[in-house]
Amino acid sequence: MASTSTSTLSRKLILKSSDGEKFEVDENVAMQSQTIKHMIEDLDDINSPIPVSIVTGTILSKVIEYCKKHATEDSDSDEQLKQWDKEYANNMDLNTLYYLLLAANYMEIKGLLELITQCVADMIKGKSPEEIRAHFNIKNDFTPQEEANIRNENPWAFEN
Amino acid sequence: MGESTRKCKTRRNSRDSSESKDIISSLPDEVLGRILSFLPTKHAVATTVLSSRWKNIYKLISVLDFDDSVSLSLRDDLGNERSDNASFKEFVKQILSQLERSHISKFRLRCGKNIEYCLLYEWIIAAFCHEIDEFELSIDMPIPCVLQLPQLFCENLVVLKLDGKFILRVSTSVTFPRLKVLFFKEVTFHGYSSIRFSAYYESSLNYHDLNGMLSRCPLLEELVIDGCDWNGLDLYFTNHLLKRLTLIDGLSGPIDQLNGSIVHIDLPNLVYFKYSQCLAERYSIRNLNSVIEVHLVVCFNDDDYDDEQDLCNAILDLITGICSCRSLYLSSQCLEALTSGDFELPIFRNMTLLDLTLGQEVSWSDVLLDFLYSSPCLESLTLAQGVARWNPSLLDGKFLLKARAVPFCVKSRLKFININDFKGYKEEMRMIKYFLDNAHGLKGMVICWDRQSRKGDLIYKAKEILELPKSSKSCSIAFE
Repeated sequence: MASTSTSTLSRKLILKSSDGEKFEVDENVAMQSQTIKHMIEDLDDINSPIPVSIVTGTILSKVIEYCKKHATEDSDSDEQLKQWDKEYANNMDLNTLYYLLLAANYMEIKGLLELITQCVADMIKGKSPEEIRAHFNIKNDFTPQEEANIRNENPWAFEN
Repeated sequence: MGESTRKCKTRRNSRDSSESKDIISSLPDEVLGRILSFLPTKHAVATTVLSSRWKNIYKLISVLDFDDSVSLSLRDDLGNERSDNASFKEFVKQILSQLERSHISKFRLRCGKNIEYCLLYEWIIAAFCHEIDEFELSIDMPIPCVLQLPQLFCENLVVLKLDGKFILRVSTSVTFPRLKVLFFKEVTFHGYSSIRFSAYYESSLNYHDLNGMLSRCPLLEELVIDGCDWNGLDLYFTNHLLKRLTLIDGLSGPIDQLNGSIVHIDLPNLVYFKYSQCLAERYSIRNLNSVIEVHLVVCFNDDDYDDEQDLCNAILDLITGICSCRSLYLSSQCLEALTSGDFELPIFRNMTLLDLTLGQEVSWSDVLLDFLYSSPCLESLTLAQGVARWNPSLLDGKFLLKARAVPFCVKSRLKFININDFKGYKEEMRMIKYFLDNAHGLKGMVICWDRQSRKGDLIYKAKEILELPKSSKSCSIAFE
């Protein structure tokens, strides 16, 4: 009641990560997550922390960094924003990318999900199956015969 | 990385180091499906062989992207011949039937000459069965083929790109309520194409022409029309949400195909406009108040205009219509048309960038002062070609820029000047001197050498330019 600012734009929300870390963010930043948006609608007291149950503090802080950048639309041109996105994604190691992907999927943040998905797709693109396995540590559990059969099902997919 | 991959044979080991863990395979199916949707379908299907986890993931893709020129490794892309594509055809057929019941939202097909039309139709019809919002065909077709777009399909489209000799058949009852991006290359309209069999033409009344189709796209934001046959139609571009408009002539198009046409433009939200087309007879342009960047490249046939003033008026219509833009790029033919009669330029009240390509027929001295007087806010000026091409013997001591008062923008606004194809002629030197003398706010001048000139001469000229007095102390001069 005694809050100093009443404008809806600057309403604050508290997000709580799976490992208990709390983040105070502007409502318009958090609302980029469809999941949180829906949670708020059902919430009576917006001052209580909102649990983001499967996302750790480390990852959540990166998610918030993205949402903050994209909440203030007018400050940057589309080009600048794209450049920022690119650098943001390039600075992540594989491990972080996976967890960001899971977080973006769970929190339903369309832009972030697309950005990271594209980034992982780019890592697959232009690699032979052997190279993909090596890059992502995927263990081939096919017998040579099984593998040959799969290749024969869609031979063009494996032609150079 | 390579070694740790080998070591992690057992699951227990892999937990120890996150580096060697296969986390990607543990992502939910839907996320993997999303990742594969960003790949050409060839690459998506190639992941079936990675491990049993991946065997069926490709069935979750929502994008079909068939391109017979894509190779598995990006490195070979360029050298790949589009010759024997029997296995490509088999692949498309098989994947289309496997994903018949999937939710496909984007469909893209690009292929070369060796596709039988009956096969092509089969694939396109298979695509029509999905709720596609982005549809793209790019087919290298030796002869035109009719493409009929069904109503339900059109109603769902957000992006439509057609590249190929399609004769489009869209019934007049069809609308495109969601369409935002439309790209046509070499497309003609049923009955409105240059192949005008009479029976064919009569039935055309039941189908949209370009104008009819555009009038059914209320949300259209981007339109590219490249090398389509207008066949003397008047054209109407009045989509109020349109932001980008690109009209390009096909190389094969007849030079007079817009001769006698009137082009109507009423686009209050247009930001980008590129017109690379033959000149129409007239332009009726309204409401281009948001336009920022405009490129005009025209061609025309002198003989089509009885009076040269008509030619001048046509281009003047166009230039006047776009005069609230901030950046303007004009080709030499625009200037040639303009100078074929008497003209008075509008005031370009927002224009900060002007790029003039001159040519054999027009020299900067015919038009430059007019543009400078009409551009009170001009900050950046580029002059390409022409300055050098102009026959210097035409000049006889009279320097045209000096004939009138220094324009306002030169005195107080101009910051950057680029001069391309510089040959070091006396007249060019005088122009450079003029700008250095009068542009008090000049920050930079870039001079690009004409490639055919002798190096020795240029070095001598560069030295001479660097020694010229400058009214702007902070002005840097660079040579490229």
